[in-house]
Amino acid sequence: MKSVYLLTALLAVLSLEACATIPKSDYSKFFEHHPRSILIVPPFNKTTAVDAPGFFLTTISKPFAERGYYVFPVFLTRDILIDMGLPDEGVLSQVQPQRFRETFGADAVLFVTIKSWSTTYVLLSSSVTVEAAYKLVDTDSGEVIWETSQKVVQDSSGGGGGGGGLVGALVGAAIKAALHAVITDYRPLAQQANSMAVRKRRAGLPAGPYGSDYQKDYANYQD
Amino acid sequence: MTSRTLRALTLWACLGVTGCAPSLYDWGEYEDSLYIRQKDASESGQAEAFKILDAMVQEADAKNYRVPPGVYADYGYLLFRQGKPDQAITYFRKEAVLYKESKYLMDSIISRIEQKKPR
Repeated sequence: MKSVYLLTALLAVLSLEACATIPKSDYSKFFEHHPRSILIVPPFNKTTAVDAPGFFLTTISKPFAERGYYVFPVFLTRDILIDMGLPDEGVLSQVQPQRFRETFGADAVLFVTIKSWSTTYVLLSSSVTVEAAYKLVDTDSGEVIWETSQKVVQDSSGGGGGGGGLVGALVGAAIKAALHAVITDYRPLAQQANSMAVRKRRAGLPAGPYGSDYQKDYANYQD
Repeated sequence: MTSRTLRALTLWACLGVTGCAPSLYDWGEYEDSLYIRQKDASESGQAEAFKILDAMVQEADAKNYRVPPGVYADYGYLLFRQGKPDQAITYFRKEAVLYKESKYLMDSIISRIEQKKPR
């Protein structure tokens, strides 16, 4: 067991050192307001995949709740916003942040922009990309208190992505592309991107009130 | 495999990976239920999603453990949409008690439902 601890400690030191060159983001606004609850509104979609925002929404609550925040249920939120006459993501960023506080009692609102949600094909291999930008806004002051972006790319050679290899070669890239377009599940990538955005060192989200290191992890985010 | 074993395994696997913390909550298949709700708007799709959430909530109630944020409220919302306002209110209240951050919204939803109910 001792060796496991040693190894963990060693890994921790190594990764800290690897990160030492990344500049720290400015967390002064964040710690000034330190929200307890986060309202996640439907993402703004910059891609041509019309189903991206809906599927993205199914992957975003868990990482933020696991970081220790109260996260409002996303579909209930979406439906209330529609009731308020605010269904379109494009309109949401124009809304006074204080309105989210008045309606939901949320301390902060998270705006996500989906920047990439696509699969590209190079002969027998394919590459799936999910990229998103995250902006957390304090609903009292209207200030941006946290901002980051995250990209996840998964490459798969012919054998990986179902029906590849020889079959892939036979049916040709175009048909394969059509097949993939239907069956590609972007959720694992979105889950990974969301989790990384929240957890990454120096640029992630400090722990919320339900997290075990709430108010104890400030040093990780401040110079 | 029980969720407890799974959690222990996850924790063990996390020991070697920095930045990976043990889970605060047992999410069960909650994300899958959201996915089904989004993907299949038909009655059977919605029923399947409800079934997952229902099992999750019943298990948490029986074993008295803390569901993740939003789960009781979401469950209440689905009950409301099924035309069960009283049951819905029960779960909106549970959400407010479990997570005080939700109390403002839950109170506002409950009072709206009660206003609409026939007296």
